[in-house]
Amino acid sequence: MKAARPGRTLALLLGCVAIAYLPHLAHLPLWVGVALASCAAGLIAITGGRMAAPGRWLRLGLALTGLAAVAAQYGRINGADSGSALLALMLGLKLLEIRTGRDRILVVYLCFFLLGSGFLHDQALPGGALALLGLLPLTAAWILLQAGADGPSPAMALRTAAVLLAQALPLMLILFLLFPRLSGPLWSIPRDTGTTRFGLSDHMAPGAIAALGQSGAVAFRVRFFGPTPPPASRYWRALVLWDYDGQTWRTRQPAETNPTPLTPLGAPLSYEITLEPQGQPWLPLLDVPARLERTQARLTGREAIEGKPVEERLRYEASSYLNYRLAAELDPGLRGRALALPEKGNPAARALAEQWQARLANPAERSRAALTLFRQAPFYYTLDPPPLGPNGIDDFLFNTQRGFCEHYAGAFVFLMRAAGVPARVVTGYQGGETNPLGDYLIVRQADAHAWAEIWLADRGWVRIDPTAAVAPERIEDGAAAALAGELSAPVRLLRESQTLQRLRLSWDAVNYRWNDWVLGYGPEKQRTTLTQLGFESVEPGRLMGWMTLITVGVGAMVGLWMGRRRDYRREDDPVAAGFGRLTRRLSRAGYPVRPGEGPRDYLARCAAAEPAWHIPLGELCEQYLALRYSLEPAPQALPRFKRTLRRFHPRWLRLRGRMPLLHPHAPSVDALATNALVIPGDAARTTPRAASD
Amino acid sequence: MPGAVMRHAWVLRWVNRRHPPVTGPIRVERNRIYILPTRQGWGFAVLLGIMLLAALNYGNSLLFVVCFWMGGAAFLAMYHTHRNLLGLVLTGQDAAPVFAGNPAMFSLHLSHPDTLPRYGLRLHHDAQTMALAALPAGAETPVPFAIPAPRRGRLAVPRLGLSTTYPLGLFEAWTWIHPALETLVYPHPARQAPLPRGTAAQGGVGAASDHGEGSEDYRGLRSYRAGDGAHHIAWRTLARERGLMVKQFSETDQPEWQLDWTQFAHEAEAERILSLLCRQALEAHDCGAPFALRLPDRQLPLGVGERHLQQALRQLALFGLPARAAP
Repeated sequence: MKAARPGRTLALLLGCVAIAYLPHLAHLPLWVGVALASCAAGLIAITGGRMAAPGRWLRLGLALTGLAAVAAQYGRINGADSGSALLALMLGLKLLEIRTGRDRILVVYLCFFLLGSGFLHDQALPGGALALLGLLPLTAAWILLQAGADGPSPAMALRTAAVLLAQALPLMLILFLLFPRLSGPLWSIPRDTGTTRFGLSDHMAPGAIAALGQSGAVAFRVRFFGPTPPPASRYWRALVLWDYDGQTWRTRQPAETNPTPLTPLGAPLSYEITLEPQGQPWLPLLDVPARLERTQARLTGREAIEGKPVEERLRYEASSYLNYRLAAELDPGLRGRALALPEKGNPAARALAEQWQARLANPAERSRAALTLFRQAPFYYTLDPPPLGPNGIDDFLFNTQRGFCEHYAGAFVFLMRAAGVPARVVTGYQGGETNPLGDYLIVRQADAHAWAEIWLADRGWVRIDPTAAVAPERIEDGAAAALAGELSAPVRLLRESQTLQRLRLSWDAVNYRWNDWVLGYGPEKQRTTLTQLGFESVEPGRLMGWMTLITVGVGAMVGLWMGRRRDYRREDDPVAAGFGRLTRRLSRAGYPVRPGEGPRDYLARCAAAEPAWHIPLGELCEQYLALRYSLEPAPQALPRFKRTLRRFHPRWLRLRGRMPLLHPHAPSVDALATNALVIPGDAARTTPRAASD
Repeated sequence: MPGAVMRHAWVLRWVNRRHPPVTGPIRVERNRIYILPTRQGWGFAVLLGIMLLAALNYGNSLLFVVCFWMGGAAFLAMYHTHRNLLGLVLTGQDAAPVFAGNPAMFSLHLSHPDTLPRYGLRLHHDAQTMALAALPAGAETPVPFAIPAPRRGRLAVPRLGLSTTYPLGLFEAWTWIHPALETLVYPHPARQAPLPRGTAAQGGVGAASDHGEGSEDYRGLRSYRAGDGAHHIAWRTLARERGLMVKQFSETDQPEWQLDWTQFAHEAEAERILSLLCRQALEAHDCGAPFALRLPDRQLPLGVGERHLQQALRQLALFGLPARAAP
């Protein structure tokens, strides 16, 4: 292979490296990019002859330095991010020791690997799909580097690469669908850095949920298998918080290990949730979940807790009840916990609650008194409440009166406990935006919510949402509507413009499908999809068999199609093709064409040798010569020739000719042998084209 | 071309049987194209394997997509490589005769039925590899190649290989072609040869009458060769520093040269004798002298001119060789 022009080769190599590194630009540390760029600059200098290629020891030193730097950055070298960094550095070093064509191809291979490893970091829609597009220029550069100086132009290489990838697309889809997926990793995957935990935390302090209020990040998406419940019923339970220390609500030890007894009072609702990574172990579920289809998670109380923090997008099916009686009996231990309050603090709130307890015998009436307080006093629902003093609840109830849902829920539960009503805080999400384009709900971090549950002897745990008393539109129309005045301008614009709203929802629907079909295509999705497609068994061995069969079949079809274009066929001309067929049949019967033998001589020789062929060969010869050499063959000549040819089966005729019994009317051999084959050759010779053949 | 296994003796025997020399154009059909993965191809397979492991381990869909897409492309590249040879038509052209020791220049004419050019073809002969330029569509591309001709006699083109790894270099497709081309290799002319016996006695070159410069028979100049008479040297040309030249005359009374095998019967090797006779024939032709050739088993009568020379050289080239087997 001759080396192509050095300038072009250089540009191709640098282009490959740039395309491969682009997906990593945002997440790998800056120094890795700088190191790679320095190596690229080194390659430019070496190619230009301004610098000598580094020797083996220098390269070894650089490699070890890179290894140490990656180890120092990540604490390991075998994770996804550290692996990508290492790969980028090794690619850089390879750039410095390019000598042969094989080295250049190796650079391209490494670029493919680096591009692919970018997906370990980001597979979400715009970036992920764009990085896939990078395969096209990489393949084109590969072709150019492979072919060297005598190769195609860049445009031609790009075209070939596009054809190749387009033809490979069906193969990719088949392999993607059928390649058996594993439910867990082959070996444990080290985590480079903790996923940024964004979303509900395991405790609730004033301001914790308000911090999420501006976030448009998607918490999860829900698809209902039946009708979607109205907004006011969409309470997504994540955590139940039992313990209050005067500042923060949390659950110190798990309160219940088994599911809380549940008496359904209606039909269950089934749905499927796609949870975004949140770095926490709980799975949000609608109101009171009854069933959760996920082996790695357990229902404790009526919360769903996953074995480990959710670091990847999860999908699970569940069903829930909106009408129920939860915990008809309250265990004394739990009752004590549901009434516990710190020894001291918030005297005014305690006094008020004790006053209710003395005045109102019925716990339900005490809760109503608290809600009335929220409704009638000038409470204000805001994302940006003023800070509270040490007696936070007193301060909030009687002084600031401005708060977000956690203020109301916390104060309400405090009041209830002080009034002798068992109560607890529940955090989760409330509401969700319907995406009509995808027929699913989007629940965002901004929908994070906190509410209260009180235990009543005849009804079990009853949900009370004090926020609804203050800002009913929060429950009906979502947090954005309730807080319209407080949202930042871009968020408001996004919510108010119809066009933007539609665009946003379309984009989300596309994302949902992408996540559902592409990124979420794991073992479960594969099983359901393939079962729907009619596969009886999705056992890996069976799948591999089908996969190989279909891939090779489709590949061979593409290959044959490429090779069977019209111009590759032996004969385009139907007359010549017919004559070819005739000679092949005669050859198989033992009469190949001799070198230099024309059609007339050949057919005459065959006819003379096999009397049974005499008549049909005479006809065929006449028809062939007429078609070939007359200036204007009759329009019927070609079909007639084809018909005669179709009926001519030399070996069968010969067999029949040798066994007169089979064909009593066959002319006797002697009678034919005396006849010379009549060949209309003279007419042919006189035509002007005869000489040219 | 593929590695050692495919050059094993029994493989080559099979190849020889399967692809005998062919007269006329050779069309590369499926039945003569062979294809195997290259080292780079195996390397790419390993790369895809590693990526697949990573995709499995991380359950990463897009990494799966990259693996499967590039895997599919690699698989189809096999067909592209195969198709790069398919339908090529090769027409050979005999080389002009050469003297032993010089390479014989054959050429192949390549054409193909595509509408786009074909790239990345390589021609292999005698363990040499030659990268061909792109073959444009709708035209015949001449591909000259040299075959060394160390010995006199008939030189047949050996079996040639035509290979390609285009587009991705993952597979190498090749075909063996054996066009029935040959040329004649004349004996290597000896550096110097004595004059034929009897030439001097009959008034050969040395005794030729001295023609003046203004002679009507003056034919021109040629460069000096050892043995030329001093009286033929063109002194004036030499004085003008245009090199040592010898005046030539079309002598009507040229002596006849009798090139005779027996003159050199004392030489040990027949090849040496043929070399000497070859040089004599060339000298005689250069002088324009009519010459006859007598070999132990045949003779060439007296004659003169280019055609005569070719005939003489042909006899020398084929001396002692078996006649060509009937086709």
